[in-house]
Amino acid sequence: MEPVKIKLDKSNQLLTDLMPKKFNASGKLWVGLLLVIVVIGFFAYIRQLQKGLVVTDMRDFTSWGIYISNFVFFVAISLVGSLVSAILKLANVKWRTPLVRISEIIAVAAIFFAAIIIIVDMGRPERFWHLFAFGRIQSPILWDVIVITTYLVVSSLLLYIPLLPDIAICRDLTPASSKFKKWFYTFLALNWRGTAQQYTLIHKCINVLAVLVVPLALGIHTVTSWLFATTYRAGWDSSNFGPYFVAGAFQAGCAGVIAVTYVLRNHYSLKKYITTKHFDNMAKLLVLLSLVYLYFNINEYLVPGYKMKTVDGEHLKSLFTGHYAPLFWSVQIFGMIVPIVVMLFKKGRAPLPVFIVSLMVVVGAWFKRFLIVVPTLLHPFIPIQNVPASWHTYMPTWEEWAITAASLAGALLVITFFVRLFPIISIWEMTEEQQTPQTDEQTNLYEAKA
Amino acid sequence: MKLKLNHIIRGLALSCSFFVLCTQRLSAQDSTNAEAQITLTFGEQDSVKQAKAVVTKNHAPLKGVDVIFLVKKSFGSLPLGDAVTTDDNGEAVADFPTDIPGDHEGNVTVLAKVEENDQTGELLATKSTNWGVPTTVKDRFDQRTLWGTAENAPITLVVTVVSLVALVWGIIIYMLSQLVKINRLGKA
Amino acid sequence: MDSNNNESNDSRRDFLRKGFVATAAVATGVGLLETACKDTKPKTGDKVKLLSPDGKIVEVDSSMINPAIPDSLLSKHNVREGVPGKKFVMVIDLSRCKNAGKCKSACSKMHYLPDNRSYIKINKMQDSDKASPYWMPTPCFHCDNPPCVKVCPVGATFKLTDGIVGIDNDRCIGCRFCMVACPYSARVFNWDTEYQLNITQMNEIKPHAACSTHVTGTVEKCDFCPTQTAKNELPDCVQACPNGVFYFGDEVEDVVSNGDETVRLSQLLKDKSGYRYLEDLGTKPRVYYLPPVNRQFPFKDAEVPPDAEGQTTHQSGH
Repeated sequence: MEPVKIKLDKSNQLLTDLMPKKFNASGKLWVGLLLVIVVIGFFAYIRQLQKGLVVTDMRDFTSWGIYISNFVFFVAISLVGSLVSAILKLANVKWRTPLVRISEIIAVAAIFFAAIIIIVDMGRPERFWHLFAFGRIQSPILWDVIVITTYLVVSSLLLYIPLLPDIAICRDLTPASSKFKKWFYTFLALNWRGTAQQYTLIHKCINVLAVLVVPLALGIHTVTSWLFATTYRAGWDSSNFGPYFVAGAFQAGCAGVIAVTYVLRNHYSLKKYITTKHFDNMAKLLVLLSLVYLYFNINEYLVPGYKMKTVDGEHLKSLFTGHYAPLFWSVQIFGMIVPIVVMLFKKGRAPLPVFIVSLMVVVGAWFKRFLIVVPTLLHPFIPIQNVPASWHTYMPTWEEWAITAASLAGALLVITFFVRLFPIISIWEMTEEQQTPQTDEQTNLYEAKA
Repeated sequence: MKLKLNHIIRGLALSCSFFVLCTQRLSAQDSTNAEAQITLTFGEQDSVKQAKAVVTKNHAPLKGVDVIFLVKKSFGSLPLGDAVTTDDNGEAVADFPTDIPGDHEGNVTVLAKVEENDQTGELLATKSTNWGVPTTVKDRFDQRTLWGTAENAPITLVVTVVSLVALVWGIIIYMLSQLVKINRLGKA
Repeated sequence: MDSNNNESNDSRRDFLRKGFVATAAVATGVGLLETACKDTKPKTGDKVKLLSPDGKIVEVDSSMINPAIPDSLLSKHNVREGVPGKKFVMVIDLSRCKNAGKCKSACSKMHYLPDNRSYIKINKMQDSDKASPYWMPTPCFHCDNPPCVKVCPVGATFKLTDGIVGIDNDRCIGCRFCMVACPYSARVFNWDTEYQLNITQMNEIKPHAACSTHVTGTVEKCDFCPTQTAKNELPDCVQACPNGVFYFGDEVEDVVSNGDETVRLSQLLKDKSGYRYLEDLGTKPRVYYLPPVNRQFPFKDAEVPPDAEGQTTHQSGH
């Protein structure tokens, strides 16, 4: 295959459109806002380090709270990397190209903060090294540590390797006067010259990693579900939990990438590259994934709900009609049913409705993890009694909210700075596609619709 | 220094308390009924193992005394049935059950005990025998189990995890080597 | 050994921290974080290093050394090994429990827990709507197939040869997986740094060495009072119960005692239909229950203490 030839001058429209741009006023405001949230969360964490986990509302019964549900959320979101860059690639879906890098940076940022938030949840974070010194391979936590570390590395490679030619473009276009920037890109570009051999190598790497990342992605979420499913607790003791979590993760991740894509498309005027057709396709994919998730939800709630075993029944009652019913039904309806219905219509698959629906799915996905973690813990086999009234419920404290918000802001900040530094749509892959003969469908896709 | 001092203090305290205990016990036996005695012997009748206690007072058999036979255990003494009243010969006999667990050799310590009363005071005889059932502790401590220590992880689990990790990280290392190669190609 | 240990004063009593842990923590550069997380309790006093008979160096808070206690046995007790040749077992006779609460207060006292906290809970249970409610004390069941031990990522909780499920609070990372894995809610967490004991209080109550220590951010639970059992003395809850609810003993000897009566374990379970709570979970608890039939006390509901409300009843699993 001929190596891609990228013209490094003003005549190349791709460079003008896709090269990273400085933050404008709203960009700076956005970064400032995220930084403030991160700083507040950092302050809250210092308090937690000083005073212990007593600053949270977790107690002996709700011994896991929003840190854990937020962790599960991050792991779920990170699944999108494998969806777009691997599964769609292996399925030979061509329109995915402009979305690959967006989904991969979301995956890396999310899995990174999943690891951070799990350390935040530890009672003795300074003993993290015990996991390596005294690790018991029998514990699902150790499996999670292994598989998350591996997924982080593989996702990072899957982000970094296809980035090499674009880093080289940044390096070559950076004037020698900005020394640090020049050094930064030169360092990361690994002497990329765009030779045929180099292109062969990265194509090979991308193919290998795309195959490798699929079982890993299923692995992170299945193992994370086992943190719950290996216990006896009502609502967790389910052999359905692995696929249920994976299905939910695909849905949440797909919605996540749509939401981020929409914002980037509008903010950086990428309408030429990310077309309404992309939203239409992604919306159809999201409907499919939501239907799969709906199917697993029916399994997960209908089967135990049919039997109503004692403790299971109490747990389900709290979700269906009890204390958690408003949240539960909001999440199920607005995070799953409404999106499916809206996006079944062609008008519902236009960019703005898809963006709104995706936000609903992402927010719903966050609260869904809360509903998976907390109500179960409030329904142990031996009922909670003889403890202070506050131990019967769980409402996160400001420290927990602040730390959780900071982790979410941190992940967004990573994505934001990535967009600031690197082309968020792969310039070389877009060039490659434009240089190879296209099918009718693809031609339609890239016709200027502006 | 502190260490030694502490041990000396402890030793002193220990021996003091032991001394006090001994003197108390001796004086109790001395003052009340030194003449009342109980002896414990073991025998066998019709292949039934029996513990026999003889209660005497001034070397004469004592009739009508309730004797309790017990087996000494970690957290208390296990009675072998109800109390047995001594007969004309001052004898009380109890069948020894065949299923009392002993130590790993079957040793048990049998007690014959007369509760505090005006006639005899408190009497106690102790004797060991190998009549118990030898017990072996079934120890699953060193088995490879899911609840075992890190070293005792089930082999299948270890093999599975190690091979998966080796496979995936092998590929990762290969990928890194490709990056090195890309770097080298660019230099040329 | 490491004299830096003085700065991390996270145990109130039997301070058997291995110097290795502290040394390695400093070596790996997390000492700073440890300082940030350390408890804000006042120091109880100097640490004294003792050489135990089996050649291990143990470090003890000087206030712990009480020459009046002939506890030379204790230094021989390996926290991770248990008493050789024993398999401890407990039987709880539900027909005798009237929620007197003495087991709880004895547990709180002997483990230096705040008054409102103990490792043993007394739960109001009801097997069915028509059945009379009863009180069910629940210590740790020290299961032979322990779900908590299975899931521990660092071996901070482990099975001892004598059947006890132990905790190493200097190993625990505070992930609380064991707490959610335990179907009996036996485990509690040391959430805060406030709870402390001064030297006078500690001297009033004789220390148990080798029991669960109190380290902020780690998990604690009933430990069957290993210091007592090593000396052939009954655990404190057993001794404290005025109604002889708890029998404790050695399964190998097949004998249990509640302090007053000593009986054959197998006979007791056979005669009174002993069962284990939620037997079908397969956790193989070492704590048996005798059903609440022929009760010694009519069931009287507890007065709800001001800090506890919403007493709910629940079906038991037998």
